Amino acid sequence: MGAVDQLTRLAHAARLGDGAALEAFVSASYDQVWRFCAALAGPATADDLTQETYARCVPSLRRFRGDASALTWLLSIARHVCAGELRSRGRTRMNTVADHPEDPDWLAVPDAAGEVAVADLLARLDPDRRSAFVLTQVLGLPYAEAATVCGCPVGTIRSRIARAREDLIAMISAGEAASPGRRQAGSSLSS
Amino acid sequence: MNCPSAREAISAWIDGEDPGLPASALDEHLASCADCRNWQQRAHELTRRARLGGPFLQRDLTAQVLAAVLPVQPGPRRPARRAALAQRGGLAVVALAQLAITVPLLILGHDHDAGAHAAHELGSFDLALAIAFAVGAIRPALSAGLAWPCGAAAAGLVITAVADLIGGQAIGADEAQHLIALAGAALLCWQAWTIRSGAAESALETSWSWAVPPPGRERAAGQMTVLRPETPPEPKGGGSDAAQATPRDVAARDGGKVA
Repeated sequence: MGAVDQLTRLAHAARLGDGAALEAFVSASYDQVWRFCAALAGPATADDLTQETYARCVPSLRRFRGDASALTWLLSIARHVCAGELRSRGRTRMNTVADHPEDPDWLAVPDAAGEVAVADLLARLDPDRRSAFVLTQVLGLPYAEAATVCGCPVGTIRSRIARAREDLIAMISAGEAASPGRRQAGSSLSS
Repeated sequence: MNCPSAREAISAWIDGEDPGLPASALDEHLASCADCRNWQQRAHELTRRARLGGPFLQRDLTAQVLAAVLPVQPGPRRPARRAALAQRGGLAVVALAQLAITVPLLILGHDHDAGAHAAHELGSFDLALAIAFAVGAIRPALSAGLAWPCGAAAAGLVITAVADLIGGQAIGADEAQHLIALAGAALLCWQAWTIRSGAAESALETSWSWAVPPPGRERAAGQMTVLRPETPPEPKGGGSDAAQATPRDVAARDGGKVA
């Protein structure tokens, strides 16, 4: 990907002391890091988590050898930062909808516009599945790069994403079943 | 093929990745499994919304990140300082010695082999060398430029002295004086090389350090505004008025829904 290569080039230039390159590196990557942190730990803490990610990344630039792309390196740091945040909140593993099949609190009820907020759905996923799903769907990384960020094989990423889709679809379906009158005619399929 | 495997393959196929299963086996399963066909449609729908949805950052916070970064350049290392001292000191000594040579030539007009006029010429060039060495001691940064002519002069002196020696002429004290020029040229070259490699090294070792943000930069809780983009119009056969979701300020909601 041209954009990733550009970021890696900027990271190397910043490592050699180019101030303008560092600025460009941060500007070019900030949005993606922020969205990743927001999806993993919620938008309320995304600012701080992103700041923390760069706080760890920038002094480590001198050790960045460029074996991986700069983006996957940066996102691995972000993942560790967010994992630490989730741990400190005392919830290492989110309960998934499968644990609460009948509980109304867990039903993803569509709102007046007929849309279920994607962010709300993602928040209920298992963190590993959420990471894999966000990296590939929201940030657009290929499976191989997502695997590097998460430190696991590509096959694991593939199955996590598939399980994430299953969970999300199950949540949406359960919510529709609970409030059939509000379901818009957007989907032509019955659950 | 069971449904979980099929769905994993469908999921990978939606993302344009290797499904890990032959396409024919998947098609076969889909032909006979309505649940999986249904699931595939839902997965497409979900993917579209997930790729476009999610919180978006509306403010540029990169300035805050960059404000907290301080470039830290390490100073020249210890051995480099000692070398620099040796170089400059040596050049100062050589400059004085070279100057001492020029005095009889320029001022007194004495030279063993040449007349007074030639002595003045030689003296002028020797004075130039002396000045070059002195400048190298005072402004080391200029060494690279000075090294060229001084190196050429020293090389010329040495080569001709060697040629004379081979030709049968004796080496006198005059020829020995050329060693001063040689030493000066060598010091200039060494200093130029040290400066050049030192500059490259310290550039490689620039480390960026992270400063604590100044007080007053902390955000108050709840200041955050997260907007969602408009989702694209979905083909709604029923024709609903509320077809478009409009961007909303969901700060209050998200504040309570931290995962």
